[in-house]
Amino acid sequence: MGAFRKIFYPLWGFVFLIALWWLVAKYFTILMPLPLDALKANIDFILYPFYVRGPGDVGIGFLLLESLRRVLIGFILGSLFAIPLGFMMGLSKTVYRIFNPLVQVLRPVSPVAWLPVALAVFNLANPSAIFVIFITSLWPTVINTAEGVSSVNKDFLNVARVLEMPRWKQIYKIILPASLPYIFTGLRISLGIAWLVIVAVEMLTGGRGIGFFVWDEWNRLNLSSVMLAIAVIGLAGLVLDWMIRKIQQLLNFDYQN
Amino acid sequence: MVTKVENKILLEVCDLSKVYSTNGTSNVIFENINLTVYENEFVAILGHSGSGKSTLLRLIAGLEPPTSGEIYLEGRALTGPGKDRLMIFQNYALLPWLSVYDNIKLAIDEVFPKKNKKEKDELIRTHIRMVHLENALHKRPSELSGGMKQRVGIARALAVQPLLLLMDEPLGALDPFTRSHLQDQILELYYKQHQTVILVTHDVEEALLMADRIIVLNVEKSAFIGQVIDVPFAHPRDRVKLRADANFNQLKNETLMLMESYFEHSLMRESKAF
Repeated sequence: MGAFRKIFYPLWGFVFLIALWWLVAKYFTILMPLPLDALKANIDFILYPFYVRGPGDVGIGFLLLESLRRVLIGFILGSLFAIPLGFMMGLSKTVYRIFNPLVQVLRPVSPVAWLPVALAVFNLANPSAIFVIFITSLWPTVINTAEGVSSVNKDFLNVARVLEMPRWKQIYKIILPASLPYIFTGLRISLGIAWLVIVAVEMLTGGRGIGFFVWDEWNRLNLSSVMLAIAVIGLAGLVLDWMIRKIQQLLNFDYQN
Repeated sequence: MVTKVENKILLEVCDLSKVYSTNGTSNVIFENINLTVYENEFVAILGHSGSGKSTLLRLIAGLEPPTSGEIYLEGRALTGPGKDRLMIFQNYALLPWLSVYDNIKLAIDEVFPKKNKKEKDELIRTHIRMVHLENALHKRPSELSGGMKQRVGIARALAVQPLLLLMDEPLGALDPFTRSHLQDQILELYYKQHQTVILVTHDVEEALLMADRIIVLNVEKSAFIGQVIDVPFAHPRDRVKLRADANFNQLKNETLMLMESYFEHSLMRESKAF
């Protein structure tokens, strides 16, 4: 019964979606292929994800790797900036008062709005895309890190104080491990949004990438490829999230405070 | 062990007051508390919730500064927290990312930095054996029951070998049977280690069973020492025998009546305030 629920129930969800797709394609638009036709049209992409048949004609696997590379570079740079900033905001009321209003104003801005600014500065598509991902990765990590650091259980700190632990040692022996679950929550949200944003950014910047692929195929009215890209983007996002959770488990910081 | 007068004074609390001021209104917790604790004495501070008993303990621990007054430990005036006064917290305060072993090691590393690895290991294992947690050595706090967690807390505090052990309602969150069991264990350790203890509690039987002397706090405008009860029963104490002892029961009833009268005072005070 357990295995049945685990496999067959989720399957029904997908069956429902494909039925809906079939319905729309059959009766509402002539541009959409039927699910089975789309599968046939995509066989080449699915069987040979890593082909190279010319500078502009490479397999979807390569496109995915290009996008992943941008996201990971931007995300890592953003996290390297966001974690220390959030940490200082959590430790010091003064730093918090200086930066919190800034964070609150910039957080609701769609990161794609930074693209023209980046293009003006870098004059190149690829660094600009990475810069937008950098900005995207900042806010959730900054906010969650600051929250984690400032909400460390007071009794943990009292234990350290009673043991006469110096402040610098308290930071890496108590405050850092106590706030790691919050930091990881921030990182997971950041990476999730970064993966959403990269598709939009690549549609605007062009070049190689899964986002531009989507737009390019739409311009050729090739909806089959677009549907394939949606599935691939979804699965890749799932894998990214799973990876962060695995890292957290491997580091053994998967606990409740 | 009826009186400790012949013993050395360990802790002296002189004219201690604590006032919290927020936005111009000041809230006096207690004023002019005087208290002397002798070496190897077990003192209980008994009071209702809101009587400032935990605050008094936190001041002795140095976790909060007094508004006025002085605290001396072995004649030295105290200015902050220190490893000579280890605190056991009601909610255990174990670090959830560390195993039982590493939680105790964290304290040992801090207090005995000069000891080598083997000496530290031995010290940790000795204290884990003392609270009978050998089987939980490498477990995380989340895998332990409340009673086991507090035993780790006790082992951690004892491993540091403090002059004074401060317990802030250490058994308050436990069920009655685990509670009795841990009371016995704490007493057993007290006999073995010759440790001076201050225990904050609101449980009359717990105080009578464990302490040599009970400081009962009363609250009028602010808290003060309402009465000091000398507990005349010889150590080592046996809970079953004491419960059958007429003197024990009489003292327990008197103390309960005292606490009830204090409680009625506080109720009257509250009803006047509204």
